[in-house]
Amino acid sequence: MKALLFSDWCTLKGVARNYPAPALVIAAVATFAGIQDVEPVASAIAMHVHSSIVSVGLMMFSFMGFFTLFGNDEREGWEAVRLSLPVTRRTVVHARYLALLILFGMVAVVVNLVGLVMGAITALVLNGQVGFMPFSEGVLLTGIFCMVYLVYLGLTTPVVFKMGISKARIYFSLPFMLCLLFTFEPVKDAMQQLPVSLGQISAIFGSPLLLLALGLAVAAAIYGASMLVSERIYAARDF
Amino acid sequence: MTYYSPLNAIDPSLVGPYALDPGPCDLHVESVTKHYDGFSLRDVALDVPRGSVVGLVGRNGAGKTTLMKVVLGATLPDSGRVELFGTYYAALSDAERARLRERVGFVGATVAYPAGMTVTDVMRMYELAYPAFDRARCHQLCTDMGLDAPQRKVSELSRGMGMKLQLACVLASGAELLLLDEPTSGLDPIVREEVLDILRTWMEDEGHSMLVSSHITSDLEHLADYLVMIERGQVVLACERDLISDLMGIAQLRAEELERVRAEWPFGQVQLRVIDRGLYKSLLVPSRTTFHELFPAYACDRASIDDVMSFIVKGKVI
Repeated sequence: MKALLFSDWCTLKGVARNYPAPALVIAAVATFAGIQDVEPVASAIAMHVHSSIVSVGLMMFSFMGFFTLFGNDEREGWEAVRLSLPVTRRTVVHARYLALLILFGMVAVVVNLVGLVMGAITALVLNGQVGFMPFSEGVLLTGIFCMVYLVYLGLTTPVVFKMGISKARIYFSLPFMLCLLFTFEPVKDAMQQLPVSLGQISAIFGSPLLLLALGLAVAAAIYGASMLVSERIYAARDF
Repeated sequence: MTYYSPLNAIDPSLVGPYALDPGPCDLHVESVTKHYDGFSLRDVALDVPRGSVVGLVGRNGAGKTTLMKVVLGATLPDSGRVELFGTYYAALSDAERARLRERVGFVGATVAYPAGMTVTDVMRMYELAYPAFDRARCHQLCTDMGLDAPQRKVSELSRGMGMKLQLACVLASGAELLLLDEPTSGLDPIVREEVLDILRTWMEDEGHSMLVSSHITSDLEHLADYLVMIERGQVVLACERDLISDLMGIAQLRAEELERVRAEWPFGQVQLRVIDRGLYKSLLVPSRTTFHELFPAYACDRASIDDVMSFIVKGKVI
């Protein structure tokens, strides 16, 4: 397990050098896009910047890590050679699921720190005062992305373990396309016709954080079930 | 499995008592079958006795790598069994499998480590994977082999350097059985000889054994104790390496001489394999001694592994 986690770490470390430049561009775009519409209050500016950076950063880097790791498996036949080490197929699956979790955690910490600093600096420059996004808002935002990440990976990772990332590429876009459906007017209208809204559900729980905790628990269960499915699928895969 | 049967049909009495002593085998492959679209590995069997080197030879695409993958567990056979150190691998629990695999090292034809890894990272990965890994020995091996670039990325290594890195890591891992898939393919003659020297030195320990697949048969002339030839997914020859050079021969015959030999063929059920060379025909002879006794006037040269492979692949059975 340690050897596999270490090889994944090396892979991510190797490509991480390519990240700072696009990350800076993204941070800049996220900082200035739509800032003119934000209320000229330090906390509002900081919140806008912080949430933009966290959203783009988490979306981009955690998923990029997923594709990098699985893409690397196929290069030069590492996925077959990996099995020549004293590891079992089950360990390979467990290590990868764990690596993806660790990756998300690390990206979440980094983008939140960057968002915090950038938000404070932007607020200071534009408003003359340092501002921060409330901690609970940061947790909520990160939690929502974590939920999406776990569900997305829970659905797609078994497919990748079955056929490899090249062949499974066609399936990656399906969840995204499903999300795009919600931008269509007829779908939006239909959503508004629903008897309950997210706000009402949140009110039932008394706190959005409690609702998030429940959502995360469900997402974690999906992720765990996905790991068990991947174990079975990977046990029968030929290289 | 006994290694006495050149061409799989020869009468053992003709070639002497070449069967192996029934000693322990580090690897035992029994009736392994694997079907793909357009290719099948059929009923493959081989043994790697402890302390010996078995050369797995065959053309490109004959099934060598598939067999290696089956042994490694990367490919699951449709039927048959693989035993490592006398233990049926598939029947073990995960933990037991991992422990058993700590005694097996693999060197592939390509350097397949993740591209972001450096030489030091690869060593660290082996150290984490193999409890018996000897880091000092690995460093020493790397130095001895001229691999003095610990921070160089794996993707920047030449083919030869990559092979040396694989060897250094595997040899320092504490493995007792090495599986090598085309270890010398694509290497220049100097590096190839260095690699073979390293392997020969490693084999000086009697507790070590090796299965080497290669289509460069000259590499196996001075390394392998036994040869297993595979063609179109089937084992067509399994014998001691010396059997080929000591016993087998190639007779160059004119048409009428071939007819005479055919009429008086002294090797029972063994098929006559002939390659037409235009003015004369080459005939694969299972035993030069017997052939000379019966046909002293006909030239019969010592056979090489390449010769035998050519006859099996291209030879016409008459």
